[in-house]
Amino acid sequence: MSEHPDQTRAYLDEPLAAFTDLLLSKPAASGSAAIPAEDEDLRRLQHTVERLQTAFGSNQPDPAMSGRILRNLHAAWQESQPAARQLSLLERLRGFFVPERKGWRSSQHSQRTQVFRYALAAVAVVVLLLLVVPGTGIGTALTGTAMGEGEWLPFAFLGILFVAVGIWIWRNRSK
Amino acid sequence: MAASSSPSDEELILLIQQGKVEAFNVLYERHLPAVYGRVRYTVPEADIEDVTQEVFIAVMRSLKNFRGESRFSTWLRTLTNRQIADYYRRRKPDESPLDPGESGLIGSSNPGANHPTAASGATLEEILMLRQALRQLPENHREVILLRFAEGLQFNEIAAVQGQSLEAVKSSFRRAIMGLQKQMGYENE
Repeated sequence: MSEHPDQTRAYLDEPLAAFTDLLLSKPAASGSAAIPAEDEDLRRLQHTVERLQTAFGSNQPDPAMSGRILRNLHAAWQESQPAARQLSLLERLRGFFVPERKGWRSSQHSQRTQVFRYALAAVAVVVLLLLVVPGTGIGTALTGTAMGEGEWLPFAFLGILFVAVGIWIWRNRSK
Repeated sequence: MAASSSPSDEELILLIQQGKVEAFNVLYERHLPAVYGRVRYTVPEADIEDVTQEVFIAVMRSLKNFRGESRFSTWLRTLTNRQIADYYRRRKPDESPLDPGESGLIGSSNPGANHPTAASGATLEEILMLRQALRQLPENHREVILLRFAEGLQFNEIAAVQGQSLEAVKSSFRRAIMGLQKQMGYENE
């Protein structure tokens, strides 16, 4: 029974590996010139290894390409970590009343929601002014009642807090 | 190989998971040649940069979930192969199996196709044919060639990566080169 052709060439494993090591360690030198193979099969395999090495050469990427990729990766990094970005007070206030749209919504729905939010904010501001500014009749109206002057302030803050919580609930419900 | 004083891949990954972009830069510089090498042996010239970038974007996104159950280099190799496979899946079926940007150059009508390229001395057509031939090799044969040529691992390192004996790796390498020789028609030269 004859041996499988692949088995009969097992003797080529070691010299081919040695040739490849030599070629890749000294890519400028010709491997064939360094180790002239008398065996025809080995010579052909060495030729294939040489062609492969010659065709692709060095694996060092072009520095310009490397820099371009790194810049794009940094941009992707920034996008992937929005929480790390510090928002200014103005942006946070804007975000409270005009939250970022997530997903598609009809423009009519957005307009109605916006109008409602601004109305709530306006009511909160008016209530605050009426409570705080003297002579408007609300703060002073409490004087002479069971509460003394200034004792209404906690209730005023509670009222403002109530309005703010209402806006917050509405804002989250509508997302 | 990384110097002993520089942080290991695993240390860098911990820093990246804490949001340190500088650690990602180090990891990128360290592994770019291996990824780039693997991609350029398998992907058409025009798309090498894009695919290399996609690999690192995938690394960035997946590192949050990297648990260190395998070595990072092994994990990166798998991820790179997956990105290359995705690249070929995304390509239209009627696209040339060769280089979409360069396959048109091959043929007698283009005098440059059979001339040596400035960088390597191989013809453009030969490079395209080699990529094609590599893709058609059995996966284990292709892998041993990529590990030796594209990543520059020594045969003993390949043996460690693949969990095989040195003799088995050298034998596999010789069979891979024989396969390539047959596909390229070098056996008749």
